[in-house]
Amino acid sequence: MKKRLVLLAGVSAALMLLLTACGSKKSADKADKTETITFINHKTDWQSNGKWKAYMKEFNKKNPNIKVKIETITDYAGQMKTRMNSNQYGDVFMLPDTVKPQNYAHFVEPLGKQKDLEKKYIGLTNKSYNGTSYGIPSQLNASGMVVNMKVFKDAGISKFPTNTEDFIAALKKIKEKNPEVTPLYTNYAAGWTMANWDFMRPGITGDPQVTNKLLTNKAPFSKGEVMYTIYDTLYKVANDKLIESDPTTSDWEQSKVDMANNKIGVMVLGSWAVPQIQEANKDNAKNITFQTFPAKAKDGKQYISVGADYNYAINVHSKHKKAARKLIDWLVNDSDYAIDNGGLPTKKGAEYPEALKSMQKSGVKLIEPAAAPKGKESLFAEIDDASEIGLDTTDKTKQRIVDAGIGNSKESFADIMKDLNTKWGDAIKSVGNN
Amino acid sequence: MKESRFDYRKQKKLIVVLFTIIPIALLLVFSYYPLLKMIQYSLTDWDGFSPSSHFVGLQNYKTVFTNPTYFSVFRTSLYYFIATFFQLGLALLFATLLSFKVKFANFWKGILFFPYLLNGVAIGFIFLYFYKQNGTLDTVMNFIGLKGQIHLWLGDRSINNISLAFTSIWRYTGFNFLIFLGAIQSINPEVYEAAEMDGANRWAQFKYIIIPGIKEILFLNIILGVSGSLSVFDIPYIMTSGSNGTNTFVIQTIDTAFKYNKLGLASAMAIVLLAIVVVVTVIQRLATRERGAK
Repeated sequence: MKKRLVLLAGVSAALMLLLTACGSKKSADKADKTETITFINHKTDWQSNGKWKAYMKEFNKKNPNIKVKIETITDYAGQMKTRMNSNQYGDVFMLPDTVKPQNYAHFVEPLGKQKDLEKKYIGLTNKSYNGTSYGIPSQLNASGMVVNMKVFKDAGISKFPTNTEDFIAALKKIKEKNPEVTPLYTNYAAGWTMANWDFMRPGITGDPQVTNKLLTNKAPFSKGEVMYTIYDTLYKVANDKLIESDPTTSDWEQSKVDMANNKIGVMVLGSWAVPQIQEANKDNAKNITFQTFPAKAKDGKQYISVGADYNYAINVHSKHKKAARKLIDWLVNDSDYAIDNGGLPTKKGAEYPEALKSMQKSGVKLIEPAAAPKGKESLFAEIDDASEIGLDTTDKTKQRIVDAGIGNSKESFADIMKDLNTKWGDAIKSVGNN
Repeated sequence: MKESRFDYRKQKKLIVVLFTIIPIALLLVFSYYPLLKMIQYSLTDWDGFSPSSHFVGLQNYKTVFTNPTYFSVFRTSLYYFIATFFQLGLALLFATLLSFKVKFANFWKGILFFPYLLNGVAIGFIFLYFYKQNGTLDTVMNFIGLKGQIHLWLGDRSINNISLAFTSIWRYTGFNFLIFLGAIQSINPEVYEAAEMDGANRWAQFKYIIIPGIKEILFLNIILGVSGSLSVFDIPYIMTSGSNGTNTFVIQTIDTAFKYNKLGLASAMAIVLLAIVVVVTVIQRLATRERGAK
């Protein structure tokens, strides 16, 4: 009998242990002067190569009393969305784009009046609501094409084309001259890369209002519209077999190495990708350049759009808001975060990265998309989600165009555009009814 | 004199309760509570993280049933459904072979069961490199002189679902095999001996002893196969993420919830899938019961 009792005691003890383990732990070191804050972000590569550690060492020289715990997440946007249902999403974090502007105040601490902050920073329109800014961009990115100029020069093209016909002709020439080279690599399989095609909108039109116009345009994929031009180019390069031969199994990490080694001509990406590709083969770095989408605006000039990357934000539930703010200020004002990542610094008057400097010299103008009209801050996202087209967000539509282009599906380009127009038009109607 | 304060029956009860409380708590917390919550979400237009949402009644269910894009992806499930029969055939073949006297029987059993032990993500990547252009399969085919038969195994829409279904067969055959083997070995060996004495050959033994003996298990495996083929997820998600005509209902659900931020609609899709699987299972149960009665 005794044995049974011992067993019983053991089982109940184990149960108790299990239950207490589920409870929350409370740290009691408040008397200590040093504050510990958690900074959650998506830069997993910086965690593994020790860059964050070096950054925080630098930060602690100025703020020795703030200890920063860095937490990086691979599937950042996806996991953060779930975590933000609790109040455990760090002290400082990158504000996911899926959060709707009217909900900013529910999740994050306001950082100041937009008017005041605008004197010092650029790119604030994106994460401001009713005149208050809830995030400060970590950097701004230009959207365009990463081009290996050596591949172009080897095919006898010394200047990057400025219209889509010349562009496609150039890619054909590359393929003719050297069949081993992939003229344009789509990164079809990565799942996020092809959204960059959508980001070309403001640059092609030179119109900061281009996205706002989509809110009322019930047929934005008709011939002559900018989205038609973009998708038509994508369809044509796929149809002419100027892309990788097996897009379904394309590989993002490998594509960077291949481009650095002159095996890929063009990839449609952001300026942030330039340093990553240059790093893959340092001897060839000077040949990796950044170009605008091959098109001119109506005024005959070329534009390139810049938009905010992830914004730093402070958790509204944080107990160390002052320390958190100090970290953000340091990252934006004093660190080299933006330059190291190939982006434009948020601080006004800061130096541009190399890739963009040369572009500015050649007369390309930078434009920043305008803010959404007041009261319609989340309308674009709502229409986009309702239509399931995934403009700016997913790759499904772009993949569908490539599938049709290489002949995997029997859809014609006109059919796809017609379907997209219907979906977009219906979505405008259904969102308007709510 | 009493040995303890509890009598034996009370102790037994207490032990039973204590031991079952953990699995039941886990079941309630991680299965039934989320299910209830999902039913609740399916009646709203919640986007997955906003503090507020609206009650929309059965609107989400209406969308699932009226919009053809949501149901057309079940076509992909057909490939996996057909593959199920190849899978069961192979599993039954190996289980029968290994139930007779074979050299290194345990070694072969281990080899056959091994793929099932591997993580689905790992399998996805193994076969991604296997099917890739100039990957393992292409290299092998080049080597044995079948260069002309090389396709884009995942890129060519006419065969990519077959490639994926083959991966599924490779992965799950071991599991079916093990169930069959267990069932076959539970048949009394004296029956075989008697059959051998009566001059029955291996084929007759298979037809008249093994098949009737494992009929129930066979049907169970078919049910598992059907519900499995309706809810295929990890292999196509990892290898092609549902692009190029390999989309399945579950991938569609995930995309709806997390790419288009329609968690309410996605919950409704999940409930619909659950209902379909339950209906299929009940129908097959009824069918097998009638057979058993006759």
